[in-house]
Amino acid sequence: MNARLHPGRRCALAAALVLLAGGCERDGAVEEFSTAIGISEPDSFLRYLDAQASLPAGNYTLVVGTDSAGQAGSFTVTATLDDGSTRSFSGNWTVSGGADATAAANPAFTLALDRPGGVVLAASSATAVCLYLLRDPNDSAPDPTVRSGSRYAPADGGCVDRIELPASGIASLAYARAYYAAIDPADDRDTLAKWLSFNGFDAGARGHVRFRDTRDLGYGRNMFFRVNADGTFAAYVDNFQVQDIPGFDYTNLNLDALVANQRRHHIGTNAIEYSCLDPTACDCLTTPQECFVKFFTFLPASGGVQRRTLVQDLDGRGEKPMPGICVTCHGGETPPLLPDGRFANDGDVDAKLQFLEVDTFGFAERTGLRRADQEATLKALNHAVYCTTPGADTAACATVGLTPPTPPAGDWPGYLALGIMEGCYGAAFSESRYGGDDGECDYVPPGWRPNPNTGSPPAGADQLYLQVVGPHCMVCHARQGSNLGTGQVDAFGADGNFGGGDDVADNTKDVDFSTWAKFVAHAADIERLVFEEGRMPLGLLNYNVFWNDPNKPALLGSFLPGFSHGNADGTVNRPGAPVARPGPSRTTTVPTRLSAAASRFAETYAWTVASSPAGSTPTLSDASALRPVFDTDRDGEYQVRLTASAGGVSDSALVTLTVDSTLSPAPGDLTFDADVGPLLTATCATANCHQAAGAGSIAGVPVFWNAADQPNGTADEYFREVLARVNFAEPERSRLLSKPSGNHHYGGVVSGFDTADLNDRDGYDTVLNWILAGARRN
Amino acid sequence: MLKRADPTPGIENFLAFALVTLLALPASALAAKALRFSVNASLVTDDNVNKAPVGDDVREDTFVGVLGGASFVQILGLNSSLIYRASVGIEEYQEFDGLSNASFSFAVDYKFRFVRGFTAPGFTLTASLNEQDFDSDMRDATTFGLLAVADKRFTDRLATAAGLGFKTSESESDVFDNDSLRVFANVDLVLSERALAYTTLNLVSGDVVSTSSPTVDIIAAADAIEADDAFGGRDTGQFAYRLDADTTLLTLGLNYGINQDHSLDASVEFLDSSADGGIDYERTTFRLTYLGVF
Repeated sequence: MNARLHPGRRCALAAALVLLAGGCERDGAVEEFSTAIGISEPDSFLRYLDAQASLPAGNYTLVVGTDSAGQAGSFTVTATLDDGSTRSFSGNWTVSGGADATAAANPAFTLALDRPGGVVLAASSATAVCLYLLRDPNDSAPDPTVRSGSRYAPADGGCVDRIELPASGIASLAYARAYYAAIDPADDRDTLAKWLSFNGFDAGARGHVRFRDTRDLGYGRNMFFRVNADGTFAAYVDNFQVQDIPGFDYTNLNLDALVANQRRHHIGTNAIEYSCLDPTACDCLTTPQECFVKFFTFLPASGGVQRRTLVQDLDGRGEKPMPGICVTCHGGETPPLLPDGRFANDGDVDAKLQFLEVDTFGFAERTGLRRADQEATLKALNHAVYCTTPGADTAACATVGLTPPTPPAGDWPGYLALGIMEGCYGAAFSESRYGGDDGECDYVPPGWRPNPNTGSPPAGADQLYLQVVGPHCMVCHARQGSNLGTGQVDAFGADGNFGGGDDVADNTKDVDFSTWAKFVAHAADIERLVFEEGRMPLGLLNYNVFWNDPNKPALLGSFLPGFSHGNADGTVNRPGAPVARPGPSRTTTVPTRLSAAASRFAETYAWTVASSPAGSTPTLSDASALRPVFDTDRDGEYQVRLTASAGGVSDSALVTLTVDSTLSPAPGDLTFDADVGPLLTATCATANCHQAAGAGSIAGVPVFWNAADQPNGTADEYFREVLARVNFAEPERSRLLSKPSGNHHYGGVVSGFDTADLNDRDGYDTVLNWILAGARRN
Repeated sequence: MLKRADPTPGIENFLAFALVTLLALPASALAAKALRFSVNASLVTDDNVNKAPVGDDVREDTFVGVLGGASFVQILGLNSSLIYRASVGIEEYQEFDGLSNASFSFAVDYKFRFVRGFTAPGFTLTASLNEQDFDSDMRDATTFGLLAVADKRFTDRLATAAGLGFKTSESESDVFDNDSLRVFANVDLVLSERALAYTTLNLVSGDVVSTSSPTVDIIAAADAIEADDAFGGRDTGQFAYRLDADTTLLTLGLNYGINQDHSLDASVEFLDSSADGGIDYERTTFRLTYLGVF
């Protein structure tokens, strides 16, 4: 298990409009931020499913050159890895090879990375140093004299004496800085006061509510909002949390602190905007499609000023950078930074506003603060959120000064969120009280209501929705999905159908869980993420509420086909037991590296060859290593068993290696330019698939698999799009592989990517081996 | 009798010290009855055993206490003496087991008078050490006390005393690390040959520990706060917290002598505590005690 590096504070995500603030770094103060939770711990919330590590696991060659050839001197290079450990490399030049990674006169060293991640390399020398980090193409037998395959640093081929490759491409301070550089380039909103003025709060708020959310972040929340004349919406919330009692910081005390306005318990302010990128150039009434959601967090006042922060710790489990911590549960995306360090899409992360689930809130027993006293204001706020949702009732939105957007193809359709909101407030927001007469919203989407005639949804699906899916999944998942595919763009129907398409067959691609069919189509992933890895439900409070009621996990498990985490007595096992993951089965050459790095909750590893062709003599370099080298003297199919153990508990899994010595090119020689790029273009950029124009092009398809269709028509862009879909931590879960092999892919199983057919998976193995070998560009 | 099978090192030290003291006593001292033994048995009801300021959090309980002690008087001169006292005791609570405890204490009194005579004032300086071992481990504490008392008889029916004391406790938790200073006055009034009434007024300045659901005012005022395992801890949201408070304690009692060596005592105790942040609590206890000396 990863060590805890620093204590922190706390997080969660869920039902509320705005996320919360926490103790954080000041903007620009330091380059590192603390992180308390490792990936291999239950409830490791917001350790992104694919954190987009800078470097895949493997062996790297560090070359130390000088800015000009022929120099003499000595140097020390310190490598700092993700876990804080360091390694030093010292040497000297007699006659240096200059700024040349391939010059033999420049000393070279091997740097091994057992897990995907990042590294910081810093040189110390009296001579001007040029550092180069190359990936050793021969992962199974590192050789620092081989100096090819440079892709990693420096990216521009220049001479630098410091190389910083973040552990995560989307969870870094650089990412946060790029985000604010995109949405607030002139720092018009780098303090709360400026943000308030920017968003019109100088004229006052339209509404002000005070409550404690019990299922989201647990804070006392002092929330203000307004709708401006240009159709923009803005809200901010002062968060109160009493942190004096360790482990007891999500109680009604937080509401008491808010009511008493005890500022020492004010831990920060979150703010959210729904506006254009440049408010002077457009407005949200006439061009609502150009409006998008932006996130800000401001630290508690220091010297009377609340400054914007780049990171926050919402759950005491480590700091996480903006905006990812907000984006995740507002249904957005975290695209990689552009090569020049800018944020993609001008900072539009495709996030959505969350409406307030009033029946989950706690209210103070004081005049003006009771729920009944605030119901109208809460509705006004929710009404505004409703009107930022595609498909909202235009007439109903005109009354609050907003125009609902019309989503372009490929965008979020919003119908499920609308259905839920109207289910709680009535059609076109006609009810005055959230949840109707009893104030409890027990709405079940039509696609979750049992159908005794067909058996789908099955009996009890509505209860599964009400007890588990609705309260624990929908806050995030209702903001997911796109309008691609048949039946997706229709208005939310009251008859149980989402349009005229084949709901079951086609509408199971997205993870919006709008129907039972969509939900159960992801059963394997649900079981893995909830019961095996403990990453879901997302958010600490949400997670605890789910697991503290044994009926909820048991109910969920009972609806998952093939559920394997249950016990005979009806209980289910919590996440935390070792999970052996030996990596993907594949066709490869030997020697080849195996990797147990994707295993969970494991402390020790044991590899054994479980089966092998007759007469072969397979070997493992180190049967207890995280990444041993497998070798053999004969082609054929081998099964290798990984046993991962911790605390006396073990789990085993097999990986099948089909050794083919004739494989050409060999895995270590695969490159994007020569192999993977052309393969994807030939396979995927075809009619009715991932091409921008021509016969059968699909409006809204999220990616084009050729260089010509990229915004600037470059191979660099194409390569970047491909890399954005690579998961170095678990290569087989890369979207680049999971989609064409038929997992929630509108194109179904693509020829050459059928993992169930050994004769039709050559494309899959090519891409897989390329990723395993480090995803080289050339 | 100690409640735990493994008495703490502190108790062991006390026991060893007491044993050595007893062994060192000259036989003549025993013969002269300089060594006395005593036993007390009490039944106590407490209407706010957790000293909670909030009504819903107030807990009542009853406990039985037994205390056995020994004292030895060492005459130093006509007007002065030393009294060595050691005792062991247990308290068993009916509902809140965590409050049940075993204790051992040792004290030395230095008594002196400047002049002799029935109404002549007397003075006592006391140093004491007390070790308590609770079922609730966070309460386990060693307490050191200093006390100065002046007493005077006015008549054969009326006696008074007043004093100043300091007490400091080192416990297993921050919350129960307490210091306090008190002044007190006591009046004994003999009602008859067998009956004696008394009243004591204590004014205490220093730490008090209450247990209740925390509020933001409590948190702001508390010097330390921890989940209180004696009252359910986190599961019930009950936290013990230490406050700096001014406490008034008034005791009214009646003592009835069965004979020269045995008596019964009944008392009621009213406590009113006002802490920082306006956090107050009240508490009333009734105590019925049998006292015997041998």
